[in-house]
Amino acid sequence: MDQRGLVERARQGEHDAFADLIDGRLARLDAAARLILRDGELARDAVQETMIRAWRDLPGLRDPDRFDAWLRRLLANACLDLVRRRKRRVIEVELTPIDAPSTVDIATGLADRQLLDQALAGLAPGHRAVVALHYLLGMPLPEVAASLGIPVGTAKSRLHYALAAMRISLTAEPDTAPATVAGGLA
Amino acid sequence: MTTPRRFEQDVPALLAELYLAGTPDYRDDLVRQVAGTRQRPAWTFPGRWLPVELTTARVPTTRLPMRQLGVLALIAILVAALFAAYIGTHQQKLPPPFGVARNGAMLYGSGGDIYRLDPTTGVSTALVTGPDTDQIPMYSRDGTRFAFFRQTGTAPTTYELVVANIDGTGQRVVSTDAVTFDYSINWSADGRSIILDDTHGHVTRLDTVGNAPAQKITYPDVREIIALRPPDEGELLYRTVTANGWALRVMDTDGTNARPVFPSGGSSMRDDDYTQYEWSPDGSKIAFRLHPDASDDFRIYVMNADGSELHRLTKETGTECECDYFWSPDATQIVFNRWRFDESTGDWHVRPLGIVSVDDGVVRDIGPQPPEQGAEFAFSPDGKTITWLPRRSPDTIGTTKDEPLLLDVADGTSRTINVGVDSPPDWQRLAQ
Repeated sequence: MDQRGLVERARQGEHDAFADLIDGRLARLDAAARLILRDGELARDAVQETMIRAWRDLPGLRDPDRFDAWLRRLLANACLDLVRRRKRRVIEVELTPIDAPSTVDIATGLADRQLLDQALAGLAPGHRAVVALHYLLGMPLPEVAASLGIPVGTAKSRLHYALAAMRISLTAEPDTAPATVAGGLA
Repeated sequence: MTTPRRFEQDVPALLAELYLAGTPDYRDDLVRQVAGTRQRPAWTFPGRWLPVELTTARVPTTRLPMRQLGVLALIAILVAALFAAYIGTHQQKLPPPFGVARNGAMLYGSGGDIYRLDPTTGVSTALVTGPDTDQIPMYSRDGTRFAFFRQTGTAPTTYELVVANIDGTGQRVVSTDAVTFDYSINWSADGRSIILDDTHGHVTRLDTVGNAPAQKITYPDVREIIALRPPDEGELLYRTVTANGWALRVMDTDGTNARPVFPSGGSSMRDDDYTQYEWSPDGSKIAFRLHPDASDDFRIYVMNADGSELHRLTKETGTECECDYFWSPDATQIVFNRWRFDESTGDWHVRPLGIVSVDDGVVRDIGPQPPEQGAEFAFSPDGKTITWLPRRSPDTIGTTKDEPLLLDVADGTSRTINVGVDSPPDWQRLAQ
């Protein structure tokens, strides 16, 4: 069954079809949510919210071919809604367990990956959302901008800033202190 | 350290390595939660199926010598003066762009052509015919011209926007790129342009009189543009996101003077907690549909343009979906689709259209029982009649035909106009 067929069936209320759609996407959506929110439990909440809303509102999706773009937009909104509800509340950074050695030459060591993770922790959620949607979910920047309700230029500048922060982190001295970041969207 | 370009290329893999961790352990819980959630019926979603995704394209211009320009300007002034003198003695009285007007003819699409119908005599006249598939005609607010969609190429959902004189002559394409059935399109109040809204903060004005390039305006911080405020269209109703969640705001169309409308007091709203906003034709009120806490109860609320005096419009009890409303031209009544939820069976049951007085909230039924999807409807310019036809999916436009009914607002009686249409008819506004 192709994706369009699965979406059509799910739109008609078939739970199995929706479960198939979930299975192909859940891991990456969860990863994007953890990158944006920096908290495994919050990420779970955001993904659950996304999927439940997707199921509930699927009959309103007119073009099945836009399912993925729509789902990614729902996730971005769910994540940023959670951030807003918890604004000014300090979120402890939870480092994702790292199992396999990197195959990428720039960050082959554990320390480098931790540094990169800390660099992302230092960014505002709105900046991390651009990084997550663009690099983890593969959305082109105009689509990222539309999903986040920001001009394309702002999306580009946020991405530029985030990349610079990540690059700098890999040249700086390691800092093993746990990072914290206050909620906010800037 | 690698180059910035190389680093950027490596980022997706780095992030996947950091964050991608296989299927989360809550997958089964999630599937169970979804299984326990009821889907919303398709008709509860806003029916924004008219246009548009447009981009601007500058029209190539040729630089003229200044001397020739001067001569041309003198000739133009002379011609304009003669034309003004002629118009001054023969000017047609035009209706206001909003509010009550006299009923004129109706336009409708059928079989890929555009027709004009005299609703009094029932006589139809073909205005736009030929091999092209033309549909969904829309009168300008002054009733002197109309726009319609012409299918382009083989894609069934790609169109160009064409403007024509009232008799179908003078057709010209005004869209600068493909038009699709997605967002919203409206004639400007002065009838000189057509306004396209991509709902992401971009408004495009297409010149329907001259050859000015499409004018695209981007509003920062705007998540969704709702509508220009009648009657002068000097303000814009829009949605944005604040630290507390989604908010409804108004600003001047030049992007200044933004002020909050709803919600007040810093309360938090989700993006689908309220939808389907409509200015009243006199611009004094805003109606919208509210369903707090994502409940199944969808109700129409009305407030003043500054957000004051917010109140639920109808007073009926139970769980209902009040959707797709339409203001009467004098802003005293609202007609809407509605469904009632049966708690015992978990089913929604369509009801006849409701028509409600804005002053006292009393609802009465009008028109026949619609099909499950509800009805398409609109007030006539004089507010005494409602056009009614079974609601259809955008996918079926051009493939099926229905005969619209005319409902008498005063006594609720109906009559057919005996023509098959494939899109809702549009009524011409005439001066009183």
